[in-house]
Amino acid sequence: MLALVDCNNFFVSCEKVFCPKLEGKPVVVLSGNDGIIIARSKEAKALGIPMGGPVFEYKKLFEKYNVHLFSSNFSLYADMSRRVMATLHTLCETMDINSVDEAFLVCDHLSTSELAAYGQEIREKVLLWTGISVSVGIAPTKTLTKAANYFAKRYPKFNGVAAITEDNRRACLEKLPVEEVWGVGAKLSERLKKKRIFTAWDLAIQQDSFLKKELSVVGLRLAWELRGVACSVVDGMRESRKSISTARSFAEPLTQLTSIAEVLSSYAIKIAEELREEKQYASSLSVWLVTKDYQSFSASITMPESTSYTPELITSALIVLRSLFKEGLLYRKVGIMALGLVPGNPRQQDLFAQKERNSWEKEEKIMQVVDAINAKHGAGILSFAAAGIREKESKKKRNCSPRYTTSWDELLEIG
Amino acid sequence: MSQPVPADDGIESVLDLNTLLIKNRAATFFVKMTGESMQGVGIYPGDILVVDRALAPSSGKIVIAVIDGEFVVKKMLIAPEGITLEAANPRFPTLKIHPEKVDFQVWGIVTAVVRKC
Repeated sequence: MLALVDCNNFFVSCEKVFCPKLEGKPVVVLSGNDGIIIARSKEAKALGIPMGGPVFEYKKLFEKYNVHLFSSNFSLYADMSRRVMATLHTLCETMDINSVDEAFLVCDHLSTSELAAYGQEIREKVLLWTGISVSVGIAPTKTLTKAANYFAKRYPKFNGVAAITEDNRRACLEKLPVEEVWGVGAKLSERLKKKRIFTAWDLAIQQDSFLKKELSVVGLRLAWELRGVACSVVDGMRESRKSISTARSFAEPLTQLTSIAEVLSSYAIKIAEELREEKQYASSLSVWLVTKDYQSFSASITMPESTSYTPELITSALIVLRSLFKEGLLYRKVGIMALGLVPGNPRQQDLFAQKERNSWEKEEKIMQVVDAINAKHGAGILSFAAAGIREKESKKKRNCSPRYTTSWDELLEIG
Repeated sequence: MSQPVPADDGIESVLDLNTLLIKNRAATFFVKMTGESMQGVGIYPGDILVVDRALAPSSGKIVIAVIDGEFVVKKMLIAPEGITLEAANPRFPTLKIHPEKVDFQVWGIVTAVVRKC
């Protein structure tokens, strides 16, 4: 069984931890030079403020209802994400970090009657340790956990935890609109509805030949997962036909996170260089840590967008490292693997890395310059800071909250 | 360049304040004290407080609490009659917490105070 743990309104929740006054109020987080809405509190959603909406259209509404606006504070969100993942790692050995606010946890060891209690244990621990509230969806496949999570979030009676087992699978899928199925976007759902496929159940019972023809093998896998057959494995290390990896034993065992982070960052820099040489982009990263007595811990993370941009690879690798690292242990080795390599320049939209078209090209130019300088003067002459998130170029961030957890000068102040 | 690693467990690492001050990295936060209400226990304006959210609150602990949306640093006393928040400065009042009247939550326990001279 898998448990999908998903933070509720993550960016807004991060802001609320350090500003409890926001509880119960409409709050919105903006990105793209404060032009796009990328997160909303429950109260803001109730006002009809849409995800991804343009700010200028909603200015009057913001004023009318006193909506609190925040410029995105990715330093804070990334650090809070590390904390949530580290907390989850104390409850589960094997997990896949799916994005900044989601992770799949393996919970095979639990009986059906223990599932709900485990879900509540997760919610309580994450809330206590980090202040972030999460929803938990438990099911045999990733796609079904997404469905379970949908119910956990939507119906208060579940108290944030919902499980889909073979007993209730049909009933749940019949209630799940097809556009809410993981991997089915707006365009595809329109096509499906034209073929009288309205619910997840309708999709799951289609003939395999139809699915393969209309939706390709991806759609077929989706239907199999809806039927309860796992088509992807959570093992902490995603497999892929092509990958680039680096792993080396330390000269002497390391015990400090900062030392391991430095080593990992240098590996990430090398991997980024190799990716750019091969004109490839990584869709996910896997990191593993090996202790002195050969115990191995690993987890992986999906990149917001396929990338070969060094700062993003370093940041993501460090997020995973933080979730794996345990204080007091001696480590002999750290490894990193870039997976899901794709050629060219895919433009998966993801709201965490909201990018304008020109800033993407600007980053490509930056990396070309970096590579040219490295080539001329010897590798590594331009090295990136191991910690911290790349600051967005915008200095017009009027409403950015302090970097409470990553800057000594911006700590929460209490009188 | 590899160096030989001693065969036994006798590896000692350099003293690191992190291991002294932080027991649970994921749940530990730093906040800055700006007021004078806790000077009696040696917490002065400008001090950095190490706050652990994972520790269970108990009577006598110095806590960061949230009262009606506002942060306070106080010593929390738990008695059968209820919870009181005490300052460590005669100029500041003791707060009795009436759960029906006030929204009260413990945000974290103060486990250390850091001050540079």
